Amino acid sequence: MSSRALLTEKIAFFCLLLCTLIIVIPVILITAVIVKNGIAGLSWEFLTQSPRLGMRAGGIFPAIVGTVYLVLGTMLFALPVGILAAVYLTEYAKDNWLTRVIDIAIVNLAGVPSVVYGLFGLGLFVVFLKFGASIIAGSLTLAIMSLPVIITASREALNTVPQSFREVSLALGATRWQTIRHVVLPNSISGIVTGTILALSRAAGETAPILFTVAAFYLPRLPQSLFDQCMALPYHLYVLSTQVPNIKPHIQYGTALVLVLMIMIMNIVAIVIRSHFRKKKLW
Amino acid sequence: MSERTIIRINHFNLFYDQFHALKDICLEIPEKQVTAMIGPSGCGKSTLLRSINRMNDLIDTVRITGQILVDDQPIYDKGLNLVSFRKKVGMVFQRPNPFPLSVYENVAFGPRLHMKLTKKELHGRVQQSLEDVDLWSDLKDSLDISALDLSGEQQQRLCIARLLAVSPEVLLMDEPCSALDPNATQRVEELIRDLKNDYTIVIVTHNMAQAARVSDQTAYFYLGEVVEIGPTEKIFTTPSKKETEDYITGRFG
Repeated sequence: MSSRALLTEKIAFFCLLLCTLIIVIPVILITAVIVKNGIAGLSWEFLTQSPRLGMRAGGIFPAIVGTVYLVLGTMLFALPVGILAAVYLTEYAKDNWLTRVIDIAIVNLAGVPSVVYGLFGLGLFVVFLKFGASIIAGSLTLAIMSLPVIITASREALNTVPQSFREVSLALGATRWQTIRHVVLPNSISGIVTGTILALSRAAGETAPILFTVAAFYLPRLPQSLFDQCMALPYHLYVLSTQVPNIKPHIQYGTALVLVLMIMIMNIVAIVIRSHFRKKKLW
Repeated sequence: MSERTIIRINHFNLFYDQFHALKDICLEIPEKQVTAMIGPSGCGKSTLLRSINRMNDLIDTVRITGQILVDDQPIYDKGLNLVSFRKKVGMVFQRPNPFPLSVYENVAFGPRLHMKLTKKELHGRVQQSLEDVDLWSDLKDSLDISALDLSGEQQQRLCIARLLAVSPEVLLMDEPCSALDPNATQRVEELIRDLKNDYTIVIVTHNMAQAARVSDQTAYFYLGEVVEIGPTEKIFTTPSKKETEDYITGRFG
């Protein structure tokens, strides 16, 4: 290799490495800043008590509970619809205009800004269906936002199941549904679960979709039914950061830290599930 | 040897979109014999095999004309019960494709779908199927290991056992030995010769020597047509068409 080529190689390598590092730097910085400023705010009281003194003291318990409820509600609505739609699209749908329209719809749904979902949820669930600002309205809004990701991830997982498995099952006299139920789903469930958890963890951190549909500015008691409003971590964080003067930063950063930790735990669960199934090496 | 015709293919045509893949195929396949389909790649032999148990239904762009009859039942009629039909006509694929389940669960898969069996009956059926493919003595103590940990030959035998467990009449084999080494191939060929006592076998193969070794009847395909069909011995010694001779002597293909 000529020395010139060698030099080019080195420069190229350096540029590639630099760009890769640029991705890592913000992640480290964000984490470091939040942990450094927030760790002082973390305490048992912070996690288990309601906010007091105009949110300048006390804890964030109602917001944690609210976010958990919203994630569960989102899962309840989005999971069955998303998985069944993905099964239909991969296993049953023929390549015709209807399927193509659905494909385009899914891609576009994924591209809609989250604040538009919020307004849509306000119009449809809160006002038109008269749910009011409530957990059910917020969950449904987040569910619609999560659907394209869940559907896409599930379709990818279903597509990794070798076609020969389906053929064998059919050749053994199984119906299409039996094939899906006993062959396709068991062999793709890890990918589906992983994709779903990642979609839900994104939903957990969203502010705009819950802004008009469920989130309460300040609600020190816990929600009693699906039709109650609730507090939620992302919106609470927004409130603490913009609406509450003279607040101690460790409360803001503590809230951010809790939110990040919750999402991180969900992502770790997804990664563990995936690596667990990968170790079992299905085929 | 029975000479009853079990599969009758009448003027069967198949198109992938505009491509005419099978042209006016007429074939009769006798019961409890081995029929080999040979020919160069892309000649349509696998497509025809997959048409005999309607596996091509999975492809949207396929169009067919003509008819295939199995046990005098037209299989492309609308009223056909596809499930019980596919049970009757089983298929072994090119690459061994056991499910990522235990040996036992692989064989039990079909019976579980179709039959209400007690645990004991199911076990008996699994044992019988594994005995029929000479796997039982090797695997009877390791029925719960993953089928994916078996050797290629064992996997292919397991796939055949999985099929036998639903009591088919016809076994369609799509190059069943192409992923196996020569010794394993020889043993699977022995198995095929044993199986023809109870089953009708149609085998697609690239390996002409294999066709000569295992089959009673051979059909030579070229460009979607049956060039010649006849007793294997005759096809390989005194073929009546020059194209067949060119292919089997290696001048072509």
